[in-house]
Amino acid sequence: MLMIRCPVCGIAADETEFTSGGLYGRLEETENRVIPRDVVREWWLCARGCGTWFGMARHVVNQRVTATWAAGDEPWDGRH
Amino acid sequence: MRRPTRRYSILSLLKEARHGHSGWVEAWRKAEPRSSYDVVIVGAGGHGIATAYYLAKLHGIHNVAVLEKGWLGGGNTARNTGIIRSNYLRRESMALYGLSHSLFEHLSQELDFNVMFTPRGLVELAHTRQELAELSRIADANRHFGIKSWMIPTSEVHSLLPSLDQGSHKRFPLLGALYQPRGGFARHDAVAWAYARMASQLGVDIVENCGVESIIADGERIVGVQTSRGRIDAGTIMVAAAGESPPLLAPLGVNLPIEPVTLQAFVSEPLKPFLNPVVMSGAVHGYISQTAKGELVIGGGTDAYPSHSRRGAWPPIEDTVAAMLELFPFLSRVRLMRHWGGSVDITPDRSPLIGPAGPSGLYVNCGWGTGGFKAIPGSGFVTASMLATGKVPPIAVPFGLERFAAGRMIDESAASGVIH
Repeated sequence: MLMIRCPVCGIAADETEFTSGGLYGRLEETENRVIPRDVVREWWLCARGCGTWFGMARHVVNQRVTATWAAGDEPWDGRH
Repeated sequence: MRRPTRRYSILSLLKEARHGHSGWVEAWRKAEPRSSYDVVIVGAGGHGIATAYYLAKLHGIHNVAVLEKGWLGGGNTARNTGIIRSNYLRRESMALYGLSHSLFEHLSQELDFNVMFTPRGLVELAHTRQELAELSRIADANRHFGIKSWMIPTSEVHSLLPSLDQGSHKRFPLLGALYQPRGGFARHDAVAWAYARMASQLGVDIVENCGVESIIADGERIVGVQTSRGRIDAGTIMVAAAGESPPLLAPLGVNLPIEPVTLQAFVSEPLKPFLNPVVMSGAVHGYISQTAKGELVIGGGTDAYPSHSRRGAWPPIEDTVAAMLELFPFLSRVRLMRHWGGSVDITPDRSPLIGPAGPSGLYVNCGWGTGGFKAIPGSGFVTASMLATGKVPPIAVPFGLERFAAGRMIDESAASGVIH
């Protein structure tokens, strides 16, 4: 089970409190991308908390969540 | 020297009993890959193996290799609940799944292997007015296109399922059900083994532990595959690798709209027979059947996010067990013995992708999502015809990749029976 911390309101809870929203970035950048067996950056919604969409890095094989960030506050340069 | 015994029958059993069972041969050959074939199939799951069998059996193409990264039928063919039905909503789906269902009826005889097809009936429960309307629509479509499936009232549901919890105390009272009398289940492994055995006897090479790393194209034509055991040349290549298909085709400029998601299933300890038909329920969301051994095979919804792991998340397990207890509360003390997860390849419209893709000579058969097992015989049958003639057979035409760009989706998100 994923344990996620919302970077906006700070609530830490399991995956049932959040909603997955697909690959991070604008739709035209992500629509044809193959999901690799690796870490992916995704949109997630703090559905039962503050209601904000935020970014999250998750490994799609071992299901480890490595980072979450607020939109506009990405831990790398520029949007991807 | 006695001839080896290949056929399975009471006579061959008696013959072998007289000779200390020394004449049996392995069900299928462990083939070494050769450097070239007429047809290479990527993925030895049900769809790949069935295609190879029908190629050899019906089209006389025996120079075929089925390459498998892991082991025969070890992917989603081994990770499903074995349910067989054809009561889909769209006529395209009814044609494909209906063909498959009718092939299942005689599959054990055709393949000389007991696939344990058990048509005990399939009951899809309606617990809300909306579901009743939706299932009635499917029943009307089924009747119109000749699939034997219809709505039954609650009294008939209770006579089919005397153990189903009922009454006004239920949060979701029963309103009716969609009933397919010839629906049921088959032994999933046996289907893969049976096709593999017959395909192997017809000369098909099934090569396990041979992962395909890339597909090689020369200009506009396919020429072969690069595998973990060297290069293999072939003029016709079919990719039936479920969720592993998109990364294989992406370098060729083919984007398959497939998302890998984990779907879990469970088996309980064996119980005395109490459940004859397969029971599906959309509102509480679960599907349950009881095997000949007495175990309950239980399935539910997928995980809530894309995943390549074959180990599912906890919340769907809880939801599925809750669904089972809503239908059959007396099972609350029953223990689950086994649990597995498969990475299902879900398409936007929940219908499969069958057809040519990219360079000439390359075909796909994937995107079966949560309902591929029931389609194995029909899918293999039409795909073999497509590979042998180069023409897409009428049943498979609507399932081509171009349907997404053309807006001709075959939306089965309601009738596919699994919430995702």
